[in-house]
Amino acid sequence: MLHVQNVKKTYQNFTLNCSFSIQPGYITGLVGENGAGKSTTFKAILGLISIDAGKIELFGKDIHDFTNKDREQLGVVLSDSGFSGYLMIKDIVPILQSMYHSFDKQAFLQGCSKYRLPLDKQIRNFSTGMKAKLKILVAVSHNAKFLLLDEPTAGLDVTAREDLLDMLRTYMEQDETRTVLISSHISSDLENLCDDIYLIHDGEIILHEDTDLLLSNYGIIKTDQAKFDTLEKQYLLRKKKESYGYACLTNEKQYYIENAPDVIVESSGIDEMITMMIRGERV
Amino acid sequence: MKGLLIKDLKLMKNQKKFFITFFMIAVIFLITYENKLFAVSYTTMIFTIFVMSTISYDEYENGYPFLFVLPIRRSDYVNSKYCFGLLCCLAAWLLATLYTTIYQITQKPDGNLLEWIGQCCMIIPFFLLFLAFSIPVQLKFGNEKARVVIFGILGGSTLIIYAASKLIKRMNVNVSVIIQLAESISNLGLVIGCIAGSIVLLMISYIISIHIMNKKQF
Repeated sequence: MLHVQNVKKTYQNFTLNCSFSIQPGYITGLVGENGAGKSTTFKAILGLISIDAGKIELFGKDIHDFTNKDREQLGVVLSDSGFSGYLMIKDIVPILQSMYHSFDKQAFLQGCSKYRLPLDKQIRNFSTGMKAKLKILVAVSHNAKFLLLDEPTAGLDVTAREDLLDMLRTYMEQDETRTVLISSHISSDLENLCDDIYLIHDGEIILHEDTDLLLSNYGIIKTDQAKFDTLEKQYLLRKKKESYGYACLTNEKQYYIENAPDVIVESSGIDEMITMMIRGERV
Repeated sequence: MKGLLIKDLKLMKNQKKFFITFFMIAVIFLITYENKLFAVSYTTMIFTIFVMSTISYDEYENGYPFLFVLPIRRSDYVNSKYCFGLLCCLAAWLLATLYTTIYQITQKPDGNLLEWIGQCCMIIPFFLLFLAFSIPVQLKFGNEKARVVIFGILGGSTLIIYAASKLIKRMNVNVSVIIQLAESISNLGLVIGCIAGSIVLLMISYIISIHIMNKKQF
């Protein structure tokens, strides 16, 4: 569905240099710290910035050759950008109708009604949650094949986040070939939603794993210095010095549970994985 | 481009109180001012300048990136701004010319209507020039910086014209030939020439704007 090949973009203090692929029908998460390159990656895919090197293919086509019709297949949420705040939802409807041939006005208005979004109020007067819901409703309103969602849940409370994730689940249930690339700081959102996850750090992809494997096989080992010295290092991805000795990230949690009963092995969530991959040293 | 024009019209509709207020002021000018042409210029200016406001509204809260992930090309955006600017300018001019002409007829039934409409036509090139100048500056520099750049360029141009006139005087250049040539052109020829010249500049401005938008990074 999407192939990002050796894409480079250099700024004064930052360089994006990454490659990854998204499979059709997948929900793929892109995680990383602030400033890791998530938004730059989205902007490069969407052609909002030029790239210095590499190639980006979407639907088997170079994004430079994208026509307006190709763009109709995309639903996009950007964390810090949306329709002008001086417009109202009732203004947006005819705009979307004239831009997207497959715009489903009835479903869009039903969504607005369901999430109690007023049609005749300027968007700049909406709450953060209302703005976020509107962005998602717009993205899923025109039968897009591919959703690119950059931090769609940023700044939202638990219930608003759950509403958004419900919208996405409903969207995916309607057609199994639909695909989503989503970035988020809220790991629980991604754990419950994504099929696979890419971790980006300093502009480079440093980990790619299926979410199920990540949650079942990855673990944090906590041990003192002496036990760490004798520990099998083959399945350790990162180590981090702690007051008690070492914390280590492994992708073979079961191996250590069975073969090293004298060390503590805990399950790793996405947050712990990110922290260890970024802050820890290679073993 | 249709969607973008709808967007701009909706933005305009949401500012209807602003336009009604300024329209009322224009009517007051028409009634109280001796120079009736001012009411036409004023109304045309208020509507023409609104195209700059729509660019500001598009920029508001970093709106550009989202706009350019919609199914539009960057050139569509530029097209929409020039179309909208011309539509606003010509519609406002027509409206203002119409209501001032009606007022003139009711007040001075024996006045020279043809001369009056000719005077109204003479202001069109100024607004076309305004669009040709302001749109690329606004697209390139954004709302805040554009104001500074526009004032800078206007100030700079005034200084250059002043310096050139001083230089011509000092060098004893005979400008009477140019004046005679200008006087020999009929009023109609002058109007057509000015409009044609401003259209050429508008086309150059359009090409520059396309280049600016294609280079823009979001």
